[in-house]
Amino acid sequence: MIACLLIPDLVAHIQHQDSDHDGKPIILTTIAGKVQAASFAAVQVGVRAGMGKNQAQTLCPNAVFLPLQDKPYIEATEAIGDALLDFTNKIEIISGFWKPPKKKPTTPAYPSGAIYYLDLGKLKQAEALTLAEQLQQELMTQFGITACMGLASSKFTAAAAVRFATPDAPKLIRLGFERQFLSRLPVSLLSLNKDMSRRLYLLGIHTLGAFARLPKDVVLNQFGKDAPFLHQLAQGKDTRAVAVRVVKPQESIHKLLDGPVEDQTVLDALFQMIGCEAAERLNSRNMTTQKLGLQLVLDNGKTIKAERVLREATSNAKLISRTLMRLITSVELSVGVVEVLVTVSELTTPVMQQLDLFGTPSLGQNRLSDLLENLTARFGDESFYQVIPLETDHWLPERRYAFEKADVA
Amino acid sequence: MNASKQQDLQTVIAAIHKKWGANAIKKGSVNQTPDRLSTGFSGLDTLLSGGIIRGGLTEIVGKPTSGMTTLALKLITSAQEVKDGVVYLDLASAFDPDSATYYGVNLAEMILVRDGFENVAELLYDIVVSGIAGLVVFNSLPLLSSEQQTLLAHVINRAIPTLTQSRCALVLLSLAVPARRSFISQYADLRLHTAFERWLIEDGQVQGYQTVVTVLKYKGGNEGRKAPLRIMFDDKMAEADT
Repeated sequence: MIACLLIPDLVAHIQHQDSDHDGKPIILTTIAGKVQAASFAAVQVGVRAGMGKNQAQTLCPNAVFLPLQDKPYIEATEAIGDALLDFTNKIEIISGFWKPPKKKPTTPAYPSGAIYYLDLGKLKQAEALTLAEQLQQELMTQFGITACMGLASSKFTAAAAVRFATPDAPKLIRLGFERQFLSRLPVSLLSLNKDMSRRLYLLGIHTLGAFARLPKDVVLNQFGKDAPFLHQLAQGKDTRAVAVRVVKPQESIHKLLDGPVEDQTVLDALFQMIGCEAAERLNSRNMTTQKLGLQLVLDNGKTIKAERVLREATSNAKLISRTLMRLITSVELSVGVVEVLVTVSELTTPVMQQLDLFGTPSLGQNRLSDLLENLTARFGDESFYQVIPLETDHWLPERRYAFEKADVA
Repeated sequence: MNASKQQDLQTVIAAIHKKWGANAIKKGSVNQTPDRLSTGFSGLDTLLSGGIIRGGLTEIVGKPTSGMTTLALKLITSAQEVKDGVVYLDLASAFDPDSATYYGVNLAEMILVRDGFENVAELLYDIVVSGIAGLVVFNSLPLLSSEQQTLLAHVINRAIPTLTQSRCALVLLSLAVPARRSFISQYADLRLHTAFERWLIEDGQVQGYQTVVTVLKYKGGNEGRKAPLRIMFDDKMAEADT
């Protein structure tokens, strides 16, 4: 049994958590002012992805418009994927955050929702419905989100079924009734290219049933080599399996402080301790990390997140501590910190390196450090900067790199 | 050559020196071509006999968005490939790490200097004289006043004797002002002018642009010759057929 889980307003839900908008519908737009995602209430009144801001405002006058932030969405999608691992390890996230292709942007059919395929194994009808209910409850308890679920024997039918499901009532298509269910649905459910859509339209084929009834050889001759697969989908025959979700290993260290801490010295000492603990854990697993994440919960309830990708993977306690110290200097702390969560991810096994007898950095780099030292001794360190990559894929240019005072040491 | 023949040759040379003077006969040596730093564009490299001159001043003049900075970034990449230290004096605070990374610059192995003009000019002298940096890029893209140009010319004049003895390539990016002649240009071993030529459009979309580099001054000849460069936005850059 394959389950197709649709969370239609995940993006808006996440942004809603971070802001207070008195329960108003939220519409997320790109910099160009195009609608990229919307909360369920806005979708219900006709707001769609790709729509202009003015049109969306006309349809949903009381909506709040916010700029889209992709990172929390990706994190939430992955977190939900991890939570679903309690039910099955065969999970596919189909509709992740939609990024416009570089050359020829196209509007996706439904970019705002997160879609998951889950292979629930061999289940009877009643068992599948019970499991679906449990799954929906789990998502509500853990993340506070509502999800619609379609259940069928194959991915395509389940994805079609989810369109008829509501958060209260999952839609189940019984084994053997797939073709009958699909026959009434529009042929546009298949990912057709422009030419094929046009030809089908001209031939008067508008439903999956009409398309499924065409002879196989005619489909091949008329629409080309990709068409037989779509023809099979229309007939309810979908043999595609759900891929196994690979869990990325990571280590988390959580520290709850006795009271709000603002003192940099205390925080530095804490990070040294965390660095040692992280290094110990990594060494025990014979792993190195290349990405460090820092999450600080402040006394006023706000959460600050920062992360850094290291140039080389490491399990060195000092390096980890130093990176964490640098991370905290890059954030502005107006109030004390009450909770610290450090995540070391992108774990890899250490790569063996041939060490030099007197291992030193490359000549140019080494001499450059000497030059920097000489210059800072004479001119001070105010003029010299190093460019540090932060979130190089971030849509805001100023968030991609940081200009930090060059470190002579 | 065996020992006896070698000895005979030395005797003959000594006799010639005695009769005609020390300059009459000299040992032959391999003709050493000046050290070059590749521009990253093979067409331009061919025109410049391998790239810009090390131990000399290269001035790149042009209007903003004419490809000057791209050329400078490609020079940085070339310098880093041969493990040269790079210093970028960013007078305009306009250094774009995104473009730099795109053109292959290793940001970790570069010093970026940002300060007022006087300090930067003084730093320029110190950096050049230190002889450590393999490439120094001075981005003076905002139009310099006459006083600033005079000061910069003075700094370069002081640095030139050391610069010529070093492997350091000093690159100056300046704004092209047709009406005025730059004070610094007299010290330049190589002057290049970049000019935007046309957009490169494929499938109805702008994929990049073509810029033309003209050699304004070059001691090795080829003055007035041009090299078209194709700078692509998406993929890597290519060069126009010359």
